[in-house]
Amino acid sequence: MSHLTGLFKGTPSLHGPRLLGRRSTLLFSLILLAAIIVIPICHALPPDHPFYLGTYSITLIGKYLTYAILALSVDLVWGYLGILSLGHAAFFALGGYVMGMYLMRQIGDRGVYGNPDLPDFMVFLNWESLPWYWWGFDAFPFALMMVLLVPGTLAFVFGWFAFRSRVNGVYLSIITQAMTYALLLAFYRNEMGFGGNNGLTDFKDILGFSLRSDSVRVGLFIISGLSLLACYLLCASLLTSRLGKLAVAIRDAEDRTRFLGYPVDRAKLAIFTLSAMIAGLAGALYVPQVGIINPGEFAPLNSIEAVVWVAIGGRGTLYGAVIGALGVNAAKTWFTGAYPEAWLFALGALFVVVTLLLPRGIAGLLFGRKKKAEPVRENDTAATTAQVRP
Amino acid sequence: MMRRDKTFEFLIPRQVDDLDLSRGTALYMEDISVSFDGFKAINGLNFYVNTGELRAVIGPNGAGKTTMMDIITGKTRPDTGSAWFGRRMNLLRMTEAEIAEAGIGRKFQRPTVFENLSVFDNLELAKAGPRGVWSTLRAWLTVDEQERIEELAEIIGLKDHLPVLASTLSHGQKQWLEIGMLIMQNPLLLLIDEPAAGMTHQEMDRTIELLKQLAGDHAIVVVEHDMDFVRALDAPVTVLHQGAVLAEGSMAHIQSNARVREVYLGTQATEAI
Repeated sequence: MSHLTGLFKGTPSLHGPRLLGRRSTLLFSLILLAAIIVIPICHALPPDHPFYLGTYSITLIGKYLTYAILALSVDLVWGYLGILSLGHAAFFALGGYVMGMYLMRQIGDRGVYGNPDLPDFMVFLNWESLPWYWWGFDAFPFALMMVLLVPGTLAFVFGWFAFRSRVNGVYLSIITQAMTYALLLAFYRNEMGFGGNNGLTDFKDILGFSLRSDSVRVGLFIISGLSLLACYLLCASLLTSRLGKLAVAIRDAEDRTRFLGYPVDRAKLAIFTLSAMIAGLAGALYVPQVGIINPGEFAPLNSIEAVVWVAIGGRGTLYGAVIGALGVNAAKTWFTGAYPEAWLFALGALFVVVTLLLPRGIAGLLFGRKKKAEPVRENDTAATTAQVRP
Repeated sequence: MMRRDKTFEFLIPRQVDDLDLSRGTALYMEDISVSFDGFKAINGLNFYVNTGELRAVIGPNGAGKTTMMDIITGKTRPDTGSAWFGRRMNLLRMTEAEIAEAGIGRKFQRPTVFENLSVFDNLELAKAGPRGVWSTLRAWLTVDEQERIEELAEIIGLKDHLPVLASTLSHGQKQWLEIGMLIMQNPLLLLIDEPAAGMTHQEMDRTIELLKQLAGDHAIVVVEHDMDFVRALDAPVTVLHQGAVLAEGSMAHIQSNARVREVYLGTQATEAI
């Protein structure tokens, strides 16, 4: 993509506060790269070293990174395009299920029933043969393609209907919520062929490497980090292009944008679909690290939590979304260990405080010293006494 | 209704690809009538605008000014009559988007600019050019285009404000920015609805200067209530009344017209003019 090259050397436009300063993109990339390098080194230290990080921690951080990718995808549609999706976890879970299917096929005849052709749960359900929609998932490239295609297709079809009928605002949010809830119910059913209530689990290998080995865990962490970086740069390049400006224009004044002749529905559809694919990728990276995918991932609460991360981190700044996802999840891990009952209250309180006091989130707090560029006005007196009509 | 000088509607060629301004007339509207629930908003209106002309349209409330604009931009279809843009484009057969693309721009009364984008980005988005998603993603400003935006910013008095968010502009500046956004679309005919509303005197003076500067390259039709503004605009005036043209000519000519004084200015005629 030509914009990736322009990302660091500046955007074509020499004017205007950039949606994403290239400095923040550069800084973010450097910090993330440093983390990707330093954390595996910490893991390689002797266990009694103060900076030693165990496999558990590495996997935990890797999981947070996949959440950060999900947060990016939510921020892309919510922060910049103005679509509050309360169903993004559905795309995340679909990506996860696709990866889970590949991992299930990798088990081969090492399952409890030792059936080389069918996953355990199908044997348990007395299924004769593999359903057609499981075909091809033995091949990793095919699965990888499906990781993007399945959530992308759902988002495309969903968005095509929603945006064409000009469903907006809270109505759209409710429909996205209904979508993820419908998927939750569907995936609970055994007849769906995705393991029902239990989902897909008991994974053994990925690409022939054991998922239990330390190096694979570290590898998955590194891949998650690099994927986050790639998604960040992809979003940043999209948002610094004219399409990014168009997205903000659509967010703030959709009708005006339409009046300028832009195909608003198609622009929304394209960005929404891309966002769903990013969420799908996040889900696919999540599953091998946590070792299970079940219908619970479709729970409406998950989607809402992702929105909360973005709100807390700072809606409309990509790094804010990442900060929010990492910060809130780190807090969640600590809280659920220390005060399990208090976590939801703490999260709720945090959300309220951020909404009331920090409309721009943590990012606004960190980088809030935004210079209020005072325009040089031609007629100072005229400007101050201008009677502005509502 | 059959007319001897007219052919069947479906025989009129629908040409939206070819604008012919060779006769120097940008807009012909003839015998236009439209009624809403029996109320004749426009009644046998004839209205012509020359290329590059600056024209003021005045009239009391309900005279049909807004409806006329709606017909020109394709928002409202007249019951009878014909409307042509140049010599070849039949406005009555074109969609709103086609009309906008053909080169008729309209500025609504309330300025709507993209508040969270810079002045520069506002102008860039408004720039005529491909509008598809993919081409928007890959769009690149050439040096020429960038210079054009800067030149235009100079004309609309926002050169120093290019990097500033549009939300920080004053009301008058937003009006100018919106006029600038219209100009970026290269319109041949500009319809401007009450540009002076809510403006200070200084801003009005600047707006008049701006409109005069833009006329010539673009035909401009200004609908305005403010008499001082119209007088200062020093342009031919069309007075609408009950959906038809009551009088047309210079401001001095209009002022001396007895009918205009009677219907438009009512009792306060002598004070107002």
